[in-house]
Amino acid sequence: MITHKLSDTSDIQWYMFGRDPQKPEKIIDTNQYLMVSNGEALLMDPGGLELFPAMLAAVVNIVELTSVNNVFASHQDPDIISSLGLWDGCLPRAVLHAPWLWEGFLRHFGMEQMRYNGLPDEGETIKLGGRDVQFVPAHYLHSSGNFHVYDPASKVLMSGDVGASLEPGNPDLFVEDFSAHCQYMEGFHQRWMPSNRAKLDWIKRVRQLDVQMMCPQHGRVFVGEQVTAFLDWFERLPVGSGIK
Amino acid sequence: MHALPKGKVCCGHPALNQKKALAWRRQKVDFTANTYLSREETIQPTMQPTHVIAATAASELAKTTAVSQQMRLTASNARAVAARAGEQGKSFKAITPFVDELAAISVSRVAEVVAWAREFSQLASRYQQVLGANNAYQKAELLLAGKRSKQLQLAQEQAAKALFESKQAQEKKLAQMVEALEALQRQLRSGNVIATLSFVEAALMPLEQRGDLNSVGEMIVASVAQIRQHNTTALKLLRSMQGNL
Ligand SMILES: [Fe+2]
Ligand SMILES: [Fe+2]
Repeated sequence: MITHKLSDTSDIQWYMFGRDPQKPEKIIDTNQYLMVSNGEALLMDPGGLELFPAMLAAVVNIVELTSVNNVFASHQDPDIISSLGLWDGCLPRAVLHAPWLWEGFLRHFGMEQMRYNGLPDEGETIKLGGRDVQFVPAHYLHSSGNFHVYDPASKVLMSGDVGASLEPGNPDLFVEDFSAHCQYMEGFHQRWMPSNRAKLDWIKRVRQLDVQMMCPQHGRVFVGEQVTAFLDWFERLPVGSGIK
Repeated sequence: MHALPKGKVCCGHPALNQKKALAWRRQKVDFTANTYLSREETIQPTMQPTHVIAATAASELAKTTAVSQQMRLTASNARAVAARAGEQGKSFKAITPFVDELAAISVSRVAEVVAWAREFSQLASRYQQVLGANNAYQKAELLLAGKRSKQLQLAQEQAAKALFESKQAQEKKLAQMVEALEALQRQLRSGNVIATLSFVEAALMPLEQRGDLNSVGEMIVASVAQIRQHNTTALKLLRSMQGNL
């Protein structure tokens, strides 16, 4: 499991985990994120069951588990959070922030000790190490109850499946040539994202934020102007291609 | 910000390769789970799909319910035949409640064991889950290559304890099922006595009813044999798990 420090200000650090060489071939590659704010950690979309041992080891290499008291699941997919039951065993005091809509579903992954904070549709802001962390609504992108995480201090947006790319081989961590990258995002967004209206609502919302880094759950990370380029591209892209 | 060269590790620890991991396993003596279980059980699970075995045993047992109901019907028919024979049929009629009773015992015992088999399957599934957690925590520990995490240790202890308790609960449930079926097998022996009695009583009946009543005895013998056969199969399946959980 590759660990990469994405951002480091005096009191907040962002880490990305992914490109696990031990990952079984047929499992979709995922990015997991950890935000550490003044020693308090938020683990985001911690991933599937298969990935758990490598993820746990990677997290422990950065922080002691006792400081991971917040976990976030953008939505209910297995690649996002099927490891929940295992995290529940080693983060007994943690709170899982996830869409209210999915509580009864997510508990199927096993959750006996952690507390579920059902995020309301309009989103929520919490404090992590004294700093604000916003859970931004991203409903129907692609899941009907869906949130992203925005850290206004570091200007990082963890964007779940939005911005995801399915690229063969072992792609680098960052987008280099945006135009060349679009081919790997197009099919995914057209087929997985169901609603043009939801898409436009999200774009409008994100345009109001100051985003310097956009971190999707699959594929490469967008930095600086690439974020705007992505928003423009996504705005033009018709989605919901499954309906013939 | 920069892109990483392919295959390079930035800040994380490189994953141990398979060989190293195995060597590590061999060297390591003290695993938390070993407080409760032997090494082989925790590291190389040889778990059979016990929930499948239990479900097969339950379906085998469920087949006896229809046979028991047939036995009840036979008893009811026999009562009618004996009643038609009047005074002469009285002794035969007195046998029929025993047939009913035997059928009822079989139905209720089987229902009880089938319900336990369902509970057993749940326990077995839970066991698999906990076993998965145990293995995942151990893999994480291997990847950490000696770096201690108190919280991880606690999770391991908890999972190991849950594994032990789940195994115990399965063993208990299994013993309960085996015991109940063994008792039923013993009770079924009375079926042969009832059948013999009905043959004797039938022989004392007028010729025209003798055939009907003889066939009652034959039905009892056949039904009991069928129930016993299904029970024997179910018992074999359940016993095969004893000592192998
Ligand atoms: Fe998803
Ligand atoms: Fe995903």
